[in-house]
Amino acid sequence: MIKKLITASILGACLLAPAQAQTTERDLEVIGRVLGFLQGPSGSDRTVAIAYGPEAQAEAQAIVEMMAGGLSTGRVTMVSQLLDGTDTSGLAGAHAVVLVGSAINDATLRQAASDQGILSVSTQTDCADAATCMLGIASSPSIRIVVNRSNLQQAGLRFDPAFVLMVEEV
Amino acid sequence: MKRTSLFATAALIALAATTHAQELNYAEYEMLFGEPVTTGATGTPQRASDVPINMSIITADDIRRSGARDIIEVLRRQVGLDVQRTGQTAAAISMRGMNIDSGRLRVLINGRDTFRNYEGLTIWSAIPVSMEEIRQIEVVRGPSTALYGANAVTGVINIITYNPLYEDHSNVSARVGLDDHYELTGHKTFQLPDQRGGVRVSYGHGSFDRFDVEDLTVEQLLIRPAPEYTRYGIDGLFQFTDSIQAGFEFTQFEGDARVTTAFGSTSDSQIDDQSLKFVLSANTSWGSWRFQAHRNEQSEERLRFARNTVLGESVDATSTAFSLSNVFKPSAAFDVRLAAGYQDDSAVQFGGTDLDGTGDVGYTTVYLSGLVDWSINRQVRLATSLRLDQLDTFRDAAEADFLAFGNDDYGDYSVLSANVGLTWSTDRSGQFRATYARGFNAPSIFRIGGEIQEGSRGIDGVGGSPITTPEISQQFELGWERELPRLNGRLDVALYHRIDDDILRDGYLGAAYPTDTGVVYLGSANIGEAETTGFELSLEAQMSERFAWGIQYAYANTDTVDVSAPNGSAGLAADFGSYVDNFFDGRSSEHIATATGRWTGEHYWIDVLYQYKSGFTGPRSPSSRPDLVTVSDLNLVNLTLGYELTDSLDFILTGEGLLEDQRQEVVSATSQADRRAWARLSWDF
Repeated sequence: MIKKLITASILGACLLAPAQAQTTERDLEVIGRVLGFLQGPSGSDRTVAIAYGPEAQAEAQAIVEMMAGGLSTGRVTMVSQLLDGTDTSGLAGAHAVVLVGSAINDATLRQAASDQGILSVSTQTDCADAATCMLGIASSPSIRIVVNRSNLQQAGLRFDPAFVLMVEEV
Repeated sequence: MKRTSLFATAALIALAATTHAQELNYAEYEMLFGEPVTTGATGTPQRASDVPINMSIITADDIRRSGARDIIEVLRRQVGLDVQRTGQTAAAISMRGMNIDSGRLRVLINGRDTFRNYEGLTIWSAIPVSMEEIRQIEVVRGPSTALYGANAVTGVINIITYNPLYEDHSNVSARVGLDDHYELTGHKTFQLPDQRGGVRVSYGHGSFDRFDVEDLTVEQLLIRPAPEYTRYGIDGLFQFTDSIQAGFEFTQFEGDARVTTAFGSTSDSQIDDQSLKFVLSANTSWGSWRFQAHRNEQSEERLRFARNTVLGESVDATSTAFSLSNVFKPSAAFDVRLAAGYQDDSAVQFGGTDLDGTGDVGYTTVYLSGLVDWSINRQVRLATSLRLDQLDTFRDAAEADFLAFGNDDYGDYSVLSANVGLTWSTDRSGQFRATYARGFNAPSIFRIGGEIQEGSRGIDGVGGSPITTPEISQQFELGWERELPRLNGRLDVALYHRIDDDILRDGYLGAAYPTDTGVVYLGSANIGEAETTGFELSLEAQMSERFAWGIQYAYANTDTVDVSAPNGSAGLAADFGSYVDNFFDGRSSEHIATATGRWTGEHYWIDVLYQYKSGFTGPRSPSSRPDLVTVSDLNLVNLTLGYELTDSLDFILTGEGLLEDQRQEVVSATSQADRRAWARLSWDF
């Protein structure tokens, strides 16, 4: 009986999970511009860690390639820092961590990002609702940015007040 | 003297300032969201697709490609606006019918008022900004006094210029055209390193021949000069710390204008205006604070043809305003804005009698306002703005026996404004909107007695009266906006009903107030109510990278209800009722249909506008006995051919009103518009 319930739950979760689109260059541009509104860091360089679940290694690698040599967008230039999966030891020095695939479910990684004041971002906007990230973004068909207010506060991060008024907060 | 007092005011403002939100970085946010952003809907920053009111935003690229040389022709492209050109640089413009005197539409530059509170109107030619300086123009449809204050009754035109702190934009443009049209405009931005500050200086000069008008007398020609203007400005914004900014704007305008006065006559005037604004903003843990102060000094040398004589009369008016606002977000579901302000408006007694220059007439305003924007859930939002204005009127000029009032009759009144918007959107691609708005039009300074003229034909005096109350407008609107992916376009539909109560009129439509001494004074009066019902549709599509088109249709029908002849007027004219009917309904086109098309090649573009406006018949002015003028159906075509010589250098040919040598758009026998054409060379650097 318990096996059946677990199997049904897993199947249900798979069916209910939104189709996960690949991270695009446009998504990265949005992330870069968003980082420009994060208060605190000076200068224009931002280090962006890429964390990924085992099934999303190829996507993570593609993100790194898109950011090769630094991706300039808005006021910032993003430099990638590929983690070993979700290994938190590579987070040091990062301004943001992009959670790719099932990395979004890694509570240890989320906590480490929060403790170090690192913005956790995903292209799955519902992660902000589920409190599994600080910021969810979508760049298609139109720009959508969802911020988890309490996660952001816990990490001690603040955005430009005008930014906060123009995005969805949960 | 005038400049001295401006600088003194600036110093006073600087001392009095304590600490508002940082100025919005329009460019960065527009790039982030892929659409314009605005603070013009609720006073808080919003994406254009999120605003809870009927607003459209005209971008700098729209302006550039339209080829328009003035704001008047840019606004002609906006659904719901009735643009009636009356001169090379002049027009009567109304929102949603009742094109009485451009007096019910408020125009601001970066939040700085351009309204002339003494006459209660906007002089379009005296708006001190060049087309190349404008980053966007926000068009708000419907009463908006809960945010903008008095006179934003039918809508608001909010002009936003490039911000020198964030955008290094410089341009020089030269125009040469028919009718001896020569114009040179330019602005240059200087920026400090690391976005610590920026200053922009701007200049503009233009001259034109006047439009040809048939049947003008020699005297009328004498008072109608060929329009000419010179303006300059300087503005700056500085980032003192990460959270504190301060900035200023100063503009000077000298030039000619055609003004349709509240008394109904058309005046050719020479304008001399200065405007100064100071702003200080700070982001704090208690929200974003913004302090703004501005002072307008407006002078007008009014050349008037009356009783076979050319009269020159000077109007001098000032407006000084202070406001403090705080925007904060107490929780994820609520945006809150609180504001308070004080404004002093006065004008020297005017009108051509012995009372002229003996003192000032005006009013002071104190207000409190608040906004709560509540995201009930992901799909539904409710935005509510309220504002309470307390106006205290005064007159300290000399009194006279022929006046129906004394200085002691000036009192105070308070008015409540409201905007409530309920929006529902299933996703980011569309929105249903239901709104209610209540706004007010404060009687202008002239209408409360700032202008007093000698009477004739049994009337001892004509002018304003303190016994007037503000006009109140209420509007109910349903709107639907939808992106159309198949057309790569957008559909906007709106249905509204507006009730204008206590409408103020003067002269022939005013009230005859008998005085104790038996003299008769014809003064301003609230004469009744009109209702306007309308429908607007706007469809835009970008069919390919090269071809875009749009169609618009606006219907606005005004009915006069409950208008009664004020005491005395009925005796002056038996046909008062029909006259008033024509006055409200016979000033605007009931149907306006507009089609636009733009073909963009690799280095060129072609932009065409066609507009149909239905004809109407209305009284020429309220100051004389009925004299109906018929304006025929109008078909208008504007065409622009642009060529990009380099990435930063454009050569543009524009023709306006191409179908006819001359057209009449307004109920004035002396205001017709010529076909005109010009070439422009524009260099961004």
